Amino acid sequence: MNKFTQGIIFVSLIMFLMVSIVAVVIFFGRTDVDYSKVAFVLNGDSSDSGWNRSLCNGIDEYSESTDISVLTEYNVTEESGHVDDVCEDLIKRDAGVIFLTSYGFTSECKSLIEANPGVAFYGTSSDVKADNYTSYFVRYYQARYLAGILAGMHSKSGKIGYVAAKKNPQVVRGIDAFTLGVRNVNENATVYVKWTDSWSNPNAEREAARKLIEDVGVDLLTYHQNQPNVIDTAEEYGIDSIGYHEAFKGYSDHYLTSVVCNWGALYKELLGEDGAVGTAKDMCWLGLEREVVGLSEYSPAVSNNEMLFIEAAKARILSGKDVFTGLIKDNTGVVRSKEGESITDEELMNDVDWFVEGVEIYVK
Amino acid sequence: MSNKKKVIKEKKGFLIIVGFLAVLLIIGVFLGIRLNSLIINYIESNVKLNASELADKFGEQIDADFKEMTAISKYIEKDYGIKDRLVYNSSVSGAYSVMGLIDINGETVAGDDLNRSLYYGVQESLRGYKKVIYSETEGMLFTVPVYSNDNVKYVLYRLYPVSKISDRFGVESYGGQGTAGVVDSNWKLTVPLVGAPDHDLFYEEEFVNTYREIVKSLTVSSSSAKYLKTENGDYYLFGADVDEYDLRVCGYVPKSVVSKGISLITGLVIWVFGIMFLMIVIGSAFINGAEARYIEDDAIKKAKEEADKANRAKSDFLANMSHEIRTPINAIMGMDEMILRDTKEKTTKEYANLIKKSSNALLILINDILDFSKIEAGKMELVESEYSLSDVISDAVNMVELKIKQKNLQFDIDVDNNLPNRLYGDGARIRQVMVNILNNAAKYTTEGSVTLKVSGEMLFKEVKLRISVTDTGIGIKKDDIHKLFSNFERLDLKRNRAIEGTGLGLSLTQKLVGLMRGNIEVQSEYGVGSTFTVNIPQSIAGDEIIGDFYRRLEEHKAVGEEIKKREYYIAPKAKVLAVDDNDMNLVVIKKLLKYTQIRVTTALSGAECLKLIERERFDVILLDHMMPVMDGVETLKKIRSMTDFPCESTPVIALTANAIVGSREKYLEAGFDDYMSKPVNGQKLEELLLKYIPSKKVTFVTEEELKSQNNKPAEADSEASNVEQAESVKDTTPIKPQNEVKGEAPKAEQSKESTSKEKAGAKRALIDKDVALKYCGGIEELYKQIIAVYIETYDERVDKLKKDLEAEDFEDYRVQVHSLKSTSLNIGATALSEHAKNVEMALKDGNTAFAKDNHDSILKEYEEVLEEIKKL
Repeated sequence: MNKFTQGIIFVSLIMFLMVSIVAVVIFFGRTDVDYSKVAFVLNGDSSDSGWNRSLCNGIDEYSESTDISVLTEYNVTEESGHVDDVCEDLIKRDAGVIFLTSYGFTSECKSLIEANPGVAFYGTSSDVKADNYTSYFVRYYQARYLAGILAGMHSKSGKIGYVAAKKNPQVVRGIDAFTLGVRNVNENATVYVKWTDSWSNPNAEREAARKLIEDVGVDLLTYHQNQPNVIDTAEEYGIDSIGYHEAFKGYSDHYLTSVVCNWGALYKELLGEDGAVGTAKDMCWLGLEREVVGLSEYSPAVSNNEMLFIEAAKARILSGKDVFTGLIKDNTGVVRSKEGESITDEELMNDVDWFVEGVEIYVK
Repeated sequence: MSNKKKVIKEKKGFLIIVGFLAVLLIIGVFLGIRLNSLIINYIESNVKLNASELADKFGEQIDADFKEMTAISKYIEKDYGIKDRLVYNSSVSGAYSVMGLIDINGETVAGDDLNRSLYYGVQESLRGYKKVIYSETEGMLFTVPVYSNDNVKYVLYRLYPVSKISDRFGVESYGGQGTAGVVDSNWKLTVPLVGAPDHDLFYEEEFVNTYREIVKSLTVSSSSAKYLKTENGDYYLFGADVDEYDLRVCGYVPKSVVSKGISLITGLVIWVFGIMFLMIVIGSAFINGAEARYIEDDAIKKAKEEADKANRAKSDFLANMSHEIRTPINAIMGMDEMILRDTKEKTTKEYANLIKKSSNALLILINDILDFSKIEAGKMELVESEYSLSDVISDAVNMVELKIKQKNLQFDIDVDNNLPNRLYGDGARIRQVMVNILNNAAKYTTEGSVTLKVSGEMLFKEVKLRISVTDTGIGIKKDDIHKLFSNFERLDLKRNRAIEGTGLGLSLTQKLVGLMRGNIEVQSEYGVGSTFTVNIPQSIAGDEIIGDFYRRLEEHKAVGEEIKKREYYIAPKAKVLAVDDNDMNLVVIKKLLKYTQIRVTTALSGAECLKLIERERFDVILLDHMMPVMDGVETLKKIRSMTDFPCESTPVIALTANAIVGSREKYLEAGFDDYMSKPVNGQKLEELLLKYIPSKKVTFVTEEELKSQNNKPAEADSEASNVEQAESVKDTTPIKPQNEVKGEAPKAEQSKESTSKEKAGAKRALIDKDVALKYCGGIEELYKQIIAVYIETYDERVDKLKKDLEAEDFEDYRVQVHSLKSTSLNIGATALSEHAKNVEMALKDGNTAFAKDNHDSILKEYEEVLEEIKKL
């Protein structure tokens, strides 16, 4: 074979290979997203007791009970601009589903969500409307209602403290549901709400709890904060408390139970066993009927009677009569729902800014 | 190329093409698969769109129902009394459904009680949503909230029994060729499948699995479609979200229905690819063919190369031969010159003259052959410079005049007076051309005249010289004219047998003329005479015109006498380094330069040369080319790569025995400053050195001064005295050493030779003086010198040989043996030389054992030769 022919053949082969490589690159780009690779983006990690630890536990539970391979990105700070990069990296690692577990992540990722129509995003905000974005929420208020029943029955003084971060529909409907529960079993009880203006401020939370105990004389405390600082203070004073997010260990019997979300069940509900999505909707608001929310294991201090009342309330909700049905007056006397009426999800999700009868905002 | 090789190569080519086609085929299959999947993707997206449309259509139907129900709910909100009539008027949109109203406690306010399994839908509506749910037993339930202000008071429901669903909500797809239904979030059929399946495929495992994929896709998209291959045929499965309601339209359609026409694309692509494949096969075959031709061309090229090589060998041979012949001719001519000068006897002088004439003719012939070999090898180059046309013509006339006049022919010369005299070109070649055609004319003319006519045509700065020679000779037959210029061809052999010549003259002339961009014309009439006309363009270099040529001719003859005188100079401060592996050559150079008093340092090898120039400044380096270990070119390269040494700017002149054409260019290209061929001619060497030795070191002297100058140092150097006296500076015969032989020298040589023969007796085999003298140009004096050197170098060489053997430095050993070989041959010790040569050859092959074995014997022989030579 002379060099000329060899050269021609060689060049032809090389060209052909190049053309086919280009063809492969053009035509064989990634087509199918692997939905069995689920990524979670968190703004903390499991050392962060309360909110983030509960998420971590849920993720663990979900990944252990399924064949899903889970990717996690811990400690991504909101509004740091990092979440975009983190998600891009996850997509590069073939994540087919990405959970944005912190409220602010969604709007930060808006353009990224639109730029990756093949990747399914889940977030706790309805700021983004896209085919590949699903917002999910938890009907925590149902569990708050159950906690309220326990509190109403357990409190001797009828004075119950509620340390809360900020006034938004989520917090307000939690307080309202809790108070409805309390009032359901104790018509004269009052729920004292003290704002801390922060999701996570241990000092402010403890101070608020202390004030409610010392100044108001509450004998049961609950809260809407990320961490269980309020329980610590309640324990110090030897009064009862109901936690949030997590079933905590190491407290006395005064710590009665916690309002919890079963994130593992939620994820399974949203993604199914194999990462496929069972209930893809614009919005998912899951609660007791899917066993996503509830109360954690009771302390021995919780009586059988109390448990029965709680179960009865649960059954009522499951039968179709949700927390915000029937006659509901706010604490200014305005009737928000008449007998035989039911308040819509729309109102509860976005508009509720009033407190039911029995709520007193403690401002001192 | 051998056939076997060819076959292998063809096989290899075939394999490569087959391999290429295989790759192509793989790519083809690959692309085919990909194309198929692209088509599937395309159809999938089409089906997907279709599913979207179906979902929209279904959604609209549901919306229509909800619209109706919402309208009714508004009535109820305004006037709860309406509810009583409602139940009985439930056939608002046909008699298929039942309506009812339920309050928030689940109590039926109007209409029939609902089965508990449907209560989930009611609950959703209590939260404010419009909801469609399905129960396998009850049917399809539509629920809408009935508001009281912002809160929900009742839920209005409408129930379609199972049997009625298909009629009202059935999803027809692909004109009935597809199968479609509606499922809820649990993938339960809400609206039964509509279509015409032979058997229901929907719940078959393959389908269910594919639907799972579709559900996954629906996470990120509102509709999706997937291709499924089954034993019962190929299908496209699809699913699409129904907006707002947690329902999906899903179904399947046979591939044949959706891919109508599109499958033709596959065919088309396969067809195109097939054609491409075919084209490449044909192309490869063509390339193969071209290759075969190329191989043939290759063979032809090789044959031509071989022929060229042979031709080159011939030219080389010619060049070498002419070179070899020239040396003895020079000797003959020199001797003859001696005889002519010395003898007073008339007959001897006559003989000597005859010898001179013949020698000259022979020399011209040899020069012609040399030129011819140059042209043949394409190495002939014109040496262009400014020259005087009148001088050139005069020279030519002088050279042929005698010959013509001897033949009693009339020689007419007609030179155009107006021709420019100063021209630019290769005057020597023009003269050669002129002489050749004049000689030719003279040769073939027995009576009458030879006429040389030189005229010209002026063209701006150029003149087209027209040299024509007309004779009254035998002429040329018309048929033969075309043979005129072919090599070695002679015409009309019968008649011209008596005429001398090689047949090379005209061929050479034509080639020279061609080289000078000219042409040659011949007009001839057989038996009457011929006219050769040569046209050569030359550049005009000055305004001077020739004028009266005869006057010029006379002037030229006078000048010519003067030119013959040579310049003599002494340069006692000048230093020359001569490098040659053969010490004989070094002796010759030393001797030749004796009269110039130039200080000659010698080196026997390239390495020695490098060592010397590092320390000492020389004005000129004479470097032999053919040296063992490190040849001249290599040495020069080393010299040129050296920096910061005293000889940095010293010119290096190549010395070589190569008289072949193009040598000069080769050496200049290699980086030498000049070139000189061996054997070295004394006058030429002096002239060459004069060019390179700094002029301040040179003192020009007259002949007499030189003689007197040299007489003094000559006394000190008794060995050379004889030579100095013998130096006949007046003589310009080319080979100088011959001049040294004077008067009785030949006699002495003869007597010496005879005595040595007698003395040598049995040991004669050791030294062959005939051979030795041959190498010394027959010069006894030179021979003596050489012997002296030979004796001088003996101790050193033996010492070196011994040391080298001890140190196992066979590289140097070889150099020594090589030198011994040449020097021994020079003194006629042929046997020793042969012996040394054998050892050298063995060492070249790496056979050191042979050298070791022969070491003693060669030293012994060396010693014997030395003893023998000392006796001489």
